[in-house]
Amino acid sequence: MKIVGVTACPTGIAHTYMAQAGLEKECKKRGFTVKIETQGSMGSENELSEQEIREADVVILAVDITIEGQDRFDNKLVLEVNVGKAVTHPEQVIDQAIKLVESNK
Amino acid sequence: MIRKDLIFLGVDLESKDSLFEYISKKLYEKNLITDVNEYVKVLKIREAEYPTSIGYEIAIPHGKSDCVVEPFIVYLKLNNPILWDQESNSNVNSIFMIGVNNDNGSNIHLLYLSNIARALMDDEFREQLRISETLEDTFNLLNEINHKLEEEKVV
Repeated sequence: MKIVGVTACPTGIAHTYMAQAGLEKECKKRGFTVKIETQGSMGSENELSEQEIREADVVILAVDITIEGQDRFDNKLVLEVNVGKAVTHPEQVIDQAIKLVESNK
Repeated sequence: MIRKDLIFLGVDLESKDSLFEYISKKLYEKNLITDVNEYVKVLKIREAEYPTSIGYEIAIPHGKSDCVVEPFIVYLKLNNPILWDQESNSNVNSIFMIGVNNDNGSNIHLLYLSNIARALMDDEFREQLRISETLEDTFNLLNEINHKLEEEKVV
């Protein structure tokens, strides 16, 4: 499974990065390939490339604000969740993402 | 980035409101904010959007305001946990309070804050933090993140 995502919160100083760490950790635990872009107070970091987006099975948007470049995911399977959920329950978010992938096979 | 004089251990407080007041007054005394009421208000607005408790009895209240003189991070450990969020019934005894202003002149502070945020998702780091009882141990643990930044030569 290949997962990419974007995290972003209103102030962009804490949840953005915790959600990134939470999702990365949970994916690694399950042996998934993962890359999470952060759109926080330091701008966009760890930016997703076109190829990474193309190859991903699913996109997770853990965002509470409008993000830059949402149109990059127009033709992708996208799971949108609250950024707080990716911090407190990343395992549930990944479960949801897997379900979404399976129901679209 | 973490300052020893912004670490408070073994504090007795009974509510989130009194905690915000307590820390904000300290910040004002140290000239890190220019207005106690304004900063408390910003913190409360942020909490109302979505409570900043992250599980593990940790919360990270934060405020972005022009009354913040320079970015800071406060670490405070309570003697007894307080109720943070009624809805999720979450109790909190360790608090990281973050302040930033609207002028992101120095990204070094922000980088440090983002590294702390990431570290909090690490089980081992949280455990070390939990068992750190002295000011010295706590400071050293939090300061390690500074060293890591230096090693990456971004400072």
